[in-house]
Formats: sequence, C-alpha cells, structure tokens
Amino acid sequence: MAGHKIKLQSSDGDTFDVEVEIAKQSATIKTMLEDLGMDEEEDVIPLPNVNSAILKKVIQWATHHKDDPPPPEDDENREKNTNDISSWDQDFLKVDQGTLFELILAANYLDIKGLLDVTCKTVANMIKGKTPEEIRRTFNIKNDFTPQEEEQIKKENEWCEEK
Amino acid sequence: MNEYQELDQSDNEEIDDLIPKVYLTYRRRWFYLFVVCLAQISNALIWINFSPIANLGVEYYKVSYDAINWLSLMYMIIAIPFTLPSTWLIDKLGVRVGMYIGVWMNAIGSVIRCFRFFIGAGSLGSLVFGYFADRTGKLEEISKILYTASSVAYILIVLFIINRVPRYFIYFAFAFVGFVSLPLSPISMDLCLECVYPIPEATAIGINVMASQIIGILMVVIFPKFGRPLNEYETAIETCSRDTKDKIVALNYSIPLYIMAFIMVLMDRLPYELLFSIATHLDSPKDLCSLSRVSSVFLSVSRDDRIWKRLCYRLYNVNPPLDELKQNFYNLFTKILAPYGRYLGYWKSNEMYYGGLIHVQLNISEETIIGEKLNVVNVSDGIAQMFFADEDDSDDDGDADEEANESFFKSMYQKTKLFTIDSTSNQILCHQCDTVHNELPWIKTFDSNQQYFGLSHEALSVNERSLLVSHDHNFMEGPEGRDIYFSRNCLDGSTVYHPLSIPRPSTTNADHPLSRFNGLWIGSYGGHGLELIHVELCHDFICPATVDGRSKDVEIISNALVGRKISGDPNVPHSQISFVATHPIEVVDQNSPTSYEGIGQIAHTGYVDAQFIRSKILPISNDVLQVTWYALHHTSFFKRCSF
Repeated sequence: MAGHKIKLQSSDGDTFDVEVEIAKQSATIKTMLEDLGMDEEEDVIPLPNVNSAILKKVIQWATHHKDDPPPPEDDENREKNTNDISSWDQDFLKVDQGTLFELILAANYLDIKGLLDVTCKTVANMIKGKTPEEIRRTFNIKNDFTPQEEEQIKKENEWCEEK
Repeated sequence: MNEYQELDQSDNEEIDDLIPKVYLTYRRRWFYLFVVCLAQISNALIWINFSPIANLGVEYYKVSYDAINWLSLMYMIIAIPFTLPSTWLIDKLGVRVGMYIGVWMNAIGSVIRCFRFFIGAGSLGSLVFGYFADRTGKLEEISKILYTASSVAYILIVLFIINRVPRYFIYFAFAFVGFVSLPLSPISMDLCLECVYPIPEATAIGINVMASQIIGILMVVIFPKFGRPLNEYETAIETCSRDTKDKIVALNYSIPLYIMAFIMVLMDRLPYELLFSIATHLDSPKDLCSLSRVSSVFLSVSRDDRIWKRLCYRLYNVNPPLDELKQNFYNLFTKILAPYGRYLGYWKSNEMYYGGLIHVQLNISEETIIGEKLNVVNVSDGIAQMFFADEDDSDDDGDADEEANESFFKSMYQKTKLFTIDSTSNQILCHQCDTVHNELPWIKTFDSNQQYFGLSHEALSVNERSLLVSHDHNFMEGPEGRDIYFSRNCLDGSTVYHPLSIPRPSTTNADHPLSRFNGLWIGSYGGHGLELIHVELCHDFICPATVDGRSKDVEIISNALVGRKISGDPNVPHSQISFVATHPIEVVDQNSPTSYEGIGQIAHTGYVDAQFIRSKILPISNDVLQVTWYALHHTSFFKRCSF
C-alpha cells in the first residue's frame, strides 16, 4: 500500500493529497481510517479545526518524520529533555507565536504525539529562565491577580528563592 | 549472595513497581456485587420512583405537584448535610456496617414500584460499561466515550423532536441516553477515586455525590423558572400530562439546558491540558514558580500535582508509594525536598584513612531525612581475623597478609545513625554529639545555574556520574574544580561527605564483559577486616608506569575494571585504587572463566611508599571475585554488596 494517498480537507476547504503512512502519524486520522473503515480512494477526510496554512506545516512535519520510530509510551516520570530538539525541528519551528500555538492545537487535535512534544518543548524553552513579567510579555498574557493575591503567591514561593 | 540487589534507591522501587500485585477474584465477589446492586437499585427506586410520573402521582394521591417533587428533592437536600457524616462513618466503621445501616434504612422506607425506560436501560448500561471498565481499567477513555455518546444521544432526542419523527424513535433515544449516561456515574466515581487517591474512598465519593446533588437541586428548583410552555407539537408528543386533568403544565427546558451547556463549555479543560503538557517540559522548580505568578490559569497549572510527582522523581529520585504519602507531592517537594533533598543518596565520608559509606534517605511517614553510616563486619567464625588483627603490619604492606584463608566470610551490615533532619522544625539532630545543628554546610563548585538536583544515579547527568566518585577525595585537599560535598561539624571536628553514584552491572552483549562486575563490593583485607569497594569498568585507564618496582612505558588500557576503596585502612586509605583488572589471560580450557591480569596497590601504614604490584583477578561468579596479590602470596575475596 506504499504510496497510497488520501485526501485531507482543511477548514478553508483546500484538499491535500497525503500518503496514508504519513497521515497515519495522526492518531485521529489513523482511527478514522481503521475504525470507521473509510475508503481511502474516494473519501475526503475533513479537518474542520485546522486551516490550510497550519495543515500544510503539519504535513511538512509528518513527511519529514515519516520514518521515525513510534514515540515511546507516555511515562510521566521519564526524562523529558528540552534540549534534544533536532536541528530540522528547530528550523521548522522558527515561526511566529500564533503559528506555534496553532501548531500545538493542531497536533493536539490530530493527536500527533511527536509534533505535540516538540512544539510543547519549544514553548517550554521560551518560558525557561524568564521572570513572570517576561513570560506575560512573551505570550501577551494579562495579569489577573490582585496585589493581595500576588503577595500571597510570592509568599508561597519563598521556598524556591535563592538561599 | 547470588541474589544481587541493586543499591540504587530507585531501582528497588522500580522493581517493586514491576512485581504485579496479584489479587484473587473469588466467585463469591460476584454475589457480593449482586447484593450491592440490589441495594443500589432499591435506593434508586425509592429516590426517583415518583419523579418520572409525578403527574400521575398528583392525580392518584390527590396531592400537589410540589409534594411529589419534594419526595425526590428531599433525597438530594438530605444528602448534602448527611454525606460527610455517613462517609465518615463508613471510613470509621467499615463498609459492611455502613451497608447494613443503609440497606435497613432503605428497606424500612421502601415500597417497590415500577421503573421505566431510562432507568431500565441505564442499569443495563451500567452493567456493560462497568464490566469493560473493570476489564480494561481505561476509566478515562470509557468516561470520555460515554460523555460523547450521551451528547450524541441528547442531540438525537433534540433532532427527533424538531423533525417530528414518530414517537417510538424518541423513546428509543431516551433509552439510549439512559444506556450511556447512567453508567457515567459509577465510572466517573471510580475515576474520581483514582484522581484523588489516597483520600479515603467514602469521603471522595461523598463529595462527588454532594456536588451532583447540588446541581440536582438547582435543576429542580431554579430551572423551572426558565422553562417556557410547550408548543403544539411538543404537547402532542409529551407524555407527562397526558393522563392528568390539565393541572400541570409541562414546560420546555431548552433555555435551562443552554445554561447548563454554557457551564459545561466553561469547564472545558483543553487549554489547561495544553498548558499542562508545556509545563511538564519544565524541569526547574524556579521556572514553575515564575509560571505560577503569571496569571490564575498558569497558577493552577503550575500547582498540578502530576508535575510535582514527576519532579520528585526526576530531581530527587523520590517515588513513594501513594499510601505512605501524607501530603501531596507539591508539599513533599517544597517542604522537604527543595530544602533537604540534595542530601539524599549515597555518600563517602572522608574520615581519616577509613572513609565509609553513608546512606541518606527520606522517611516519608515521619517527614524526616535520616543519615546513617553503613559498616560491614565479618560475622563468620573468623579465626584468621582474630589472628591477623593483632599483627603489626607497619613494616609490611598492607592490604593483606599472607596465608589467610578468607575464602569464606559472612558479612553483616551495621547501621549507625549520624543525623536526622526534621523537616517540620527545620532542625538537624546530630546523634553522635547529641546536639542540634541549623545546617549541614553544602559546597558545590560547579554549575551554579542548576540549583536543584538530587544525587541519585538518575538525577546526575551522565558526564557528572563517574567524575564525582573517581577523582580522589583526599582527606587534606580542598574542593577541586568540579566538586560537591556537604559537611557535618561536630564538637570533635568536621566530617566531609562526597557523593557516590553506584554503577549498575550490565549484561548486554553490546557492553564489555567486565561491566557485569560494576557495583559496590565487599572485600576481605586480612587484618583490616572487610572493606567496601566501588567497582566500575573504566575507559582509557592510565596504567601506573611502575609495577613490582620495575618501570615500563605508560600504557593506556581502553577497558579496565577499577576497584576503588569507599572504606579504607591506614595502609591504603579510602578513595584510593585497590586493584585494577587490565588484560584477560588467554586460557587453554574453554570451560573455565576468563581471569584477568592486573595490578594491586599496597603501602606502609600512613599510605607511605605506596606501590602497585602484579595481581590476578579471577571471577568466580558475577557476584564473587578472587584477587591474588602475587608479591604477597595472598588472595582476597570480594563479594557483591546487597543490602
């Protein structure tokens, strides 16, 4: 079945021809194909939560990673090294923040563990070593704490201050 | 002694995790389940038997609609104040007594009446999904499926009503709703239990039930205010007021439903889960602290106990069984591990000549950290020991004396408490001088960015592991380029503790055969008794140039098994090399194990005139080594440590 293709349709209505094996990195699509017995030749798989630009990126990522070994089973205790992002992935994720977050959402929706991992790692790296104010500025987040609450949290966090 | 048990704290726990706990499923359990089901059914019957036919009840009993409604409302209202006391009673007296009380109270109050589609299908659904939940344990998945399916079922009902399909379809849809939504209750309770474990079961379920009762009361009391009268078609298909004399007005509850739906949407956890997966990539508690101060969503994400459970393990190799944990992982991390976790692990003391092995461990239930010294002594009828103990070996060498037959020694561990850190009072009690210290001074001369890390095998990065043990922590030297230690200052002086990482034996074919001897060993050193040796396969070992007094070219051995002393003696003190296996000896007989040529270190008392002599290392098994010191005509035995 190598080279066999299916059609994926983005929320904008564009369709993309993708090899089945590449598309199956998405557990969501894999389930659709296997469990729902969709006819790969005929049917178009609609992906209403992903727009064309993002879907294109996702397909690009999945094509590059099609020969990767399947990701290991999730184990919350295992080492999650945020420094081991491959250089290809690093270049691939040199995008604006909006795109990065849309990629996370798409990876989550399409259930592509590898992509979700690497995008989350990238965001985690953006958080590392930053002060709360810097994090707010980086991600454009509103501070919704009252001064009292802020004081309270600061007090709770005393344990991690430099000794 | 062949039963090797790895020293590393984590390993034991991992092994524990790997051993499946086997529970027998007696047939009798099905009977008990049946009995519990009966109790549950009786309860459900008494509770809502009138609600579906309130209108008929009003007519039959000639009472008001409210009176009928209060029958079920009572249940929910009473449940709120009584849930906690009754669950407390169950936790206190046991399930059995609780059941007796409940069932008898039910029996007294019960008159069994008919029940309808919804509950009927629901009971069937509970059975089916309950069975799958138990078989697969995939509670989360099943509850997600059920939630989805019940949404579908509700949508079906709405579609059927709007499209005015024949009534039986609608009844079918209601049965479907019952089938998929009633099982949600037991399964989500199970899920709830798993989430909040180790909180007592009854308490958790109680709070769960209370919450649903509050929603229930809201639905019965508040929602009718938002209902609107039925239109013509709706009147035609509803069955509620069919047989009554128009006393009751059936209402359309779409607006309250929208309100409920809106509440559900607000509780959508997706952004939370995504933020959570980002936060699980943060290994620095400092980053999590910063995260907590960003906004309220970030605060709740940063306090997610799953993150702290992972950090307790990742940074401090602490992975306690949940039933021993008295608090959550966040508290364990912030109150105990952040200030004191860095002391956990195995250490080598720098006591003059003798050194020694120190084990610092966490006592979860007492919330203390305890440091103990592990001594190893020979408890066999050691005539040789007695004999050599008095001998003056100052003019000889010393690691061992000749002719001692030590092929049989029986080791025993003696534990001596050194200090106890009380995490609640933040005091450090030193057991030897019986005084309270405020701190165990901590010195770290590298990587100042990484403030937190434990000293477990897992937590140390690979390039730090062997460095910490292999550079000689000499008793007079100050801190070196890359060093880390803590000290204990007692009245009679100061003791410094250097971290140890204990290498694991490896038996895969890819590794060098000598790596299967990696680990901590006990060796017999003649009159000095038993000593602890750290054995590890080292790459590019620089062989001493002078062996047996003869000089040769410096040789670099690509794979050498190095035995280094953790506890030492006045001849060859701790931290020094005891023996090294360098070259395999070709054997004629294929069946005998490969022995190794190597070197051994001897010295006069006070580590004077230290020199290397030729030796032979013979593996007797993976757990026993025999080392022959040629120039001494002496043979030492080494046995793998198992605590």
